Amino acid sequence: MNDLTLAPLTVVGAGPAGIMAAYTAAEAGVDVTVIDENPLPGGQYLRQSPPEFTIPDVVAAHSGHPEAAALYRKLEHPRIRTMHNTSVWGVFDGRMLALAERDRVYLHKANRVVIATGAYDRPLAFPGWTLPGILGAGAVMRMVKTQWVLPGKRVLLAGLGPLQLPLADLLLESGVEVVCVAEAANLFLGWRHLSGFWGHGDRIWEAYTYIKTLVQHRVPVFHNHAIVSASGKEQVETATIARLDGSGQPIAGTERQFEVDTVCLGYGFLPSIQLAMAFGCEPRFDENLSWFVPRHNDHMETTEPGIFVAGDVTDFGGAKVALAEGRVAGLAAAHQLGALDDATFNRLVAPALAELRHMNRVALALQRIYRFRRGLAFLASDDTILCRCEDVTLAKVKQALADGAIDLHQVKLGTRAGMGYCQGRCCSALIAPIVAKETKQSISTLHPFTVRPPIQPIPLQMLATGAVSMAVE
Amino acid sequence: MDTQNLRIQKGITRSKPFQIQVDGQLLFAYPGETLGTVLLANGKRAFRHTMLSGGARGIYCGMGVCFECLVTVNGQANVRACVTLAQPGDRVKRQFK
Repeated sequence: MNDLTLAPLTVVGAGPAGIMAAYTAAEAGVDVTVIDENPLPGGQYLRQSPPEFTIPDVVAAHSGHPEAAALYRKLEHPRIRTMHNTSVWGVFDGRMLALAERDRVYLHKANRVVIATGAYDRPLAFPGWTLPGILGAGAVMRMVKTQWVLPGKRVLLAGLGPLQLPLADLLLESGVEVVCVAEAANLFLGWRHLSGFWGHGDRIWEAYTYIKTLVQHRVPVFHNHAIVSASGKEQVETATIARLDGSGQPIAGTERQFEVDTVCLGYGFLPSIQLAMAFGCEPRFDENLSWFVPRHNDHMETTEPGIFVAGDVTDFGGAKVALAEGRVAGLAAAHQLGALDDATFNRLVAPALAELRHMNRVALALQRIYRFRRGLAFLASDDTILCRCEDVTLAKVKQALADGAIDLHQVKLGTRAGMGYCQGRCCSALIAPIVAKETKQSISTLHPFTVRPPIQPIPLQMLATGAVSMAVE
Repeated sequence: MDTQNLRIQKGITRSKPFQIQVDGQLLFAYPGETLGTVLLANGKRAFRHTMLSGGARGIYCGMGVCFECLVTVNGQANVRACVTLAQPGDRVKRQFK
């Protein structure tokens, strides 16, 4: 593999956080390389419709967000170079990034790095959850907003969190029948966190408009309910929800069954921490998320000097928080690179930090109200698949634990769970609570699967032909 | 499932469609659509059976993370339908047992 150019700042991910980090550093005089997997910038939240579609309403082509166009344009800054369709599949010798773009492999020597890799739909394992027609809420959102196709005709929404409302609204407006919304949060337990919304009236108003649409379409909303099973032959045909007890476990006898062709699972998001882990950044266990996020300081720097995080990879705060975090990370990286002196950095970072504190108050209140409830981690029955890639059932995981496995790594070796294509992105957070329960440890003391290259699967022939030196302009 | 109207029509004009082959059947696809979209729009939810349990799988994450929507395209196995654009003349095989 050949050597190549050194970019002072490398940003991975061209969503709101990544774009803002890149732009802020570029404005400070730093040359930035942005690496993104997608053909167009925007990430998931500001995802763009394909240019081949003619969409007269420009906002509709930008996932319905009026602020998106101005953000994409920030990447046109002369100090920013963006590599689209490019994924990072490994980190070597501390700062050497291995990249893949279509059938080519590059090495990219990074100096400072902002990891803005976002998040993905949190998997929830229950009997029948692998059936076709059962999709993540983020998947459905993208499908409708950017591919302009409906996921089905009769949809049940089950999840945890305020994003279920805009999704139900979107589906109803698109002519889909929404049979019900099952919301796992217990708002009765969450009311004490509402003070966090003080000064955030716009958020409450937004929620109200969505609820109005649900009422108009007579869609039943079941609070404190979760999906407990689904069945069908080659695709989902029925879905069953049930009321939850105080710990979030379903109460027998409260089940309601619905005939559906689609189920939308919106149980929050898991941060894409794999790249941060590959850099050696230390994870922190987040109690509300009940999963790991990269630890960072006020300036968004991880435990690895010069490696920053921004956006939903830190914990789910949404796009506005992501923009503010991107700004802080961009300023801090520029400061470390000597592009900003101490005084200028302090002057610029103070308002961004203040804004972040203001927004984090509401983000934290939402995270507490919609915290992942313990019972939701134990909906699987013995024959339910936990690792989709390797078809590993709950029974197999329990067997590995009975045979002496005491952590995630040993379960992986004993069952192949986490060894498949997705590299444990889906199953690790499903298996960890089982390991914790059976071995009587706290889940917070378990360590997520070790991240090894390739972080993203790449065809072997790409390695065989060797890396191409990145073109030097 | 009645698959009429799964493509949203309001607010969008698509370019001239082309044909792709899915398990020998000719389907229309529009420029800009992923293979996953074309299959879904035609009511095809199951994309493959798993090697071990034989269970049916389809699109799950829709963003290239989970590798559940794998199909064979022009002889190449295990292509993610959700992030791969349909191209004129594509021959797609669902990976059924």
